[in-house]
Amino acid sequence: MANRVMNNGPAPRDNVPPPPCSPPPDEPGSPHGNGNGPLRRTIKIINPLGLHWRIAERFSRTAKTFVCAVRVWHGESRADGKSPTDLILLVALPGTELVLEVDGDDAATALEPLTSILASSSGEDYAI
Amino acid sequence: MNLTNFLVREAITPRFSALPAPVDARDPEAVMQLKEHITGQMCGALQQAGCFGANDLPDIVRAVMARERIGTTGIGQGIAIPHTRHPAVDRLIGTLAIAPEGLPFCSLDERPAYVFVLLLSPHDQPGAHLRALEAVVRTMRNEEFVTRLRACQTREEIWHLLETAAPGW
Repeated sequence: MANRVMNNGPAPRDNVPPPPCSPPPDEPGSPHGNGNGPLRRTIKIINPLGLHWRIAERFSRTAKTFVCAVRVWHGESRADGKSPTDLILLVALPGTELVLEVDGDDAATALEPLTSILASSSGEDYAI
Repeated sequence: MNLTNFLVREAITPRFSALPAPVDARDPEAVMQLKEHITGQMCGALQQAGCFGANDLPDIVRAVMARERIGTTGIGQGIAIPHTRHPAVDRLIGTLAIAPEGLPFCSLDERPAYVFVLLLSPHDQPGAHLRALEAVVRTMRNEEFVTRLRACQTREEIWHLLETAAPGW
């Protein structure tokens, strides 16, 4: 399921000099960044409720199990992936493309589970 | 979005009434009963303000509690945002309440909640809900504002503060 919504291509704006607070582009053909730098993945939010509190809370709780830095970008807005309130400030509506960026010792291990949470399509319809 | 765009002025609750006896924060079931009490008062205030009919009130409270049971909406730093989607409302609405002494809410930081913002939204407006969540989180990150909010005694004071001093964006 997750693969269907992931775009492993270069991060956005890779032909434009990045502003100081935006994620630098990956090298073309290098879906997971380069060298020892951060790993990135572009993820489209397909959950019909968008990135709501439950997803943000689950994502941050999972992110905290890794030592690597976890950042989520929405355009030029950056959230600390270990803070659910930071993630809420991204206002990621259905259809939004986010860039997940992990950087540190266990970044490669963190990428898949974190991607799965953001890419989940489950609606979690709690309203009765 | 500003909080005054969706909070219902007439439903703002400066103080909860008739709270049950102090609850052991380590007792999840007792805290859940307290949450139901709080939710009932806040939803009741919205109903009294004419936001939906009395017949819908029990089901709305039940929906908020169903959401609460699958994960706390106590986001930490003294703030709780209980919420649900429900067909009884045709646009996003909300209300705000204050508990000056703090109440256990099983918050993420395990500390009491002092400010409660309850959100109700229709099923088909996820964007409005996310923008409201963002507005609440952004506003409540301002510690000075929250301190002033917690000191408010009346609905008028709260509304005036929201209109004049809420962090803008």
